[in-house]
Amino acid sequence: MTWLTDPIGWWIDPFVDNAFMREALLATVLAVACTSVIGTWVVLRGLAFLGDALAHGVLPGIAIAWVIGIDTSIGAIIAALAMVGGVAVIKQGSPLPDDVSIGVLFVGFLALAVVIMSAGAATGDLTRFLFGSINAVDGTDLARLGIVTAVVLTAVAIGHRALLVSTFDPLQARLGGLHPRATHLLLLALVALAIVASFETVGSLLVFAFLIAPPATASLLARRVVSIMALAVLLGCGASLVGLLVSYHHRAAAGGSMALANVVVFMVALIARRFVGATSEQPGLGHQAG
Amino acid sequence: MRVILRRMIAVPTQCVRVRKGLALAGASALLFAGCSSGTDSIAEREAPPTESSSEPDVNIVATTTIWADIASRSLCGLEVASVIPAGADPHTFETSLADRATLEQADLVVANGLALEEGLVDLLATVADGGTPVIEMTEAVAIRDMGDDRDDEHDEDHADEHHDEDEDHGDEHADHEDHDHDDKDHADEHHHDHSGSDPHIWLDPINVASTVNLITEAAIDAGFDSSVRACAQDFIGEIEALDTEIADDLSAIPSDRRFLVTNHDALGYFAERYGFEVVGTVIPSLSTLAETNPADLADLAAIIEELDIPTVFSEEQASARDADALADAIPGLTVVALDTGSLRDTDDDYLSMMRRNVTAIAEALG
Repeated sequence: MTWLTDPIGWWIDPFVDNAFMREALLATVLAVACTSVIGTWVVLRGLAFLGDALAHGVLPGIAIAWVIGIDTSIGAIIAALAMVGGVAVIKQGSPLPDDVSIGVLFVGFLALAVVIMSAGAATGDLTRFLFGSINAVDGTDLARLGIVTAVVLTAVAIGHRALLVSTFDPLQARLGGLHPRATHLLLLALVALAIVASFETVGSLLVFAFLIAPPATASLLARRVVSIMALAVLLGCGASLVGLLVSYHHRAAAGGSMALANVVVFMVALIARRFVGATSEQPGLGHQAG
Repeated sequence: MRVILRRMIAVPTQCVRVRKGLALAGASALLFAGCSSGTDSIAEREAPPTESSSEPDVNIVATTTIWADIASRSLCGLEVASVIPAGADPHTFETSLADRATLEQADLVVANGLALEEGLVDLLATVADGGTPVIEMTEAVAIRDMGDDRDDEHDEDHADEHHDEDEDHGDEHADHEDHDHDDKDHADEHHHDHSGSDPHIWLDPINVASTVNLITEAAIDAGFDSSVRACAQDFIGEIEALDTEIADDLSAIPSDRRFLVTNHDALGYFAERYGFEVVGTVIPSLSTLAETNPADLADLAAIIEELDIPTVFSEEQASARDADALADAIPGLTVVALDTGSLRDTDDDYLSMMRRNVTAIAEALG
């Protein structure tokens, strides 16, 4: 219980004493800001499964890039495009519900990544791409994350109205000249960008955790979209901070600790909500769009 | 509770023992009693976390418990921490943020090299970029490629590589992939699609002897007193004695029994040193992370039966499920666990570990 009995020592000292902890925290905050904001739209539009598919769909691209020795981000971008394209094709051609089609594609991509990684000369290990190397963050990682976060936040701010209207009233969006289809593609592109920028530091699984869990938690507690976004970033950062400290003090895997912390926060919010008494039905959830 | 593995071993008989805390700025960091025989003792300390250490002597961290022990013995019993704890598999170990703290606080990091510690590759690169000297033990020895005899050409390739380039070079070896199994008839039957450089250099004691000077010189560069070389020489003597002892213990095994089947390809250097042939491995790879495949397992079973091999040697540190399954399928085949990737526990040391392994091998095959 040292986090209670010795708060300075447990919460503050690791950051004061270690530059890499400050960098890890900064990388996490940037990744959370980037993904939770865009993740709010993913959650509100019911695209969580697609977000998951994208987060894992980049893996074979990363695996191939890693095995042949080129920059893994390039592989990730190509794979993300392939995944988005694949989903579009499947939706057109498959009579099955979207989640089934996406699910099959997603499993295929993931399995491809596993086969590639185990056949490669250097056996390597998928967990490094799933969980990243937050404890090996350096200056270039931070710079890249910073730039991508700025781009994503700007795009979200600019596209806010289009996203808002197309989420809750697609017909109005089309009539109002807000190009819902283009908006949807923009959203997917931003999700892909956030994933590609973050997977080396926090890992693709954790990117998905940030994409979904903090916005989900926030949407249990807030109603306006901008409030949900702000709360999501706050909750995501807070939970990840705890995850980082647990990893530091208890030698636990960093990526996993942060993902777990975010899910725990969600559970707590879910339970708390029951006791406090749910407000009226949350806007937007269950609203299938895109 | 942070538990950092720490070992403090006094070198027996040659009796040089380091006391932490006696270092003086600008003066020798070590006290030496002469090299007469004296009491030996093995002291184990729960050392405090190093983040607020004010001790001025050199802080050395190794990646595995085996290298921690070897470095300790080379440096007169200095306490050397290990990132990967005893009993863990170096191929699969995942790091935590606490491990980065440990590495950043070190004055010198002793790593194996050739990406043995697969989970530490990125971390070691980052720590090295930050200015901490990271030395790789594989640079001191001639490296063998999987499937080949020791190939001196590759020695130079590896000696100059930085560990953070290892990933890239792992792929280049696909080009070097050489299924030339020369005059070993039995090996021709299997076509393993694997390649890469073998990182398990410590299982050949003579390789370890070559690394001792590398460690010692790096420690001296980091601030150790040069008198530590005497301890290094003593340790090399012990290693050479071990080598002779092993050769003797294994000499009783007849040539038609000098075949090794292991869980993964860990014993390549050992086999070359002592006149054995590794005829196959359950996991067709230099790493425990790879998967087995049915075709290779069938080939291996055929070889085992043809050569009447009695034992598959697995590792304490890795799962032996596939080896056990093989043993169930082949009557008379047993599985014997060795310590290859790590020391057994905090009381264990390299020389004892090798002796135990050799005893087990001699009993199984003799």
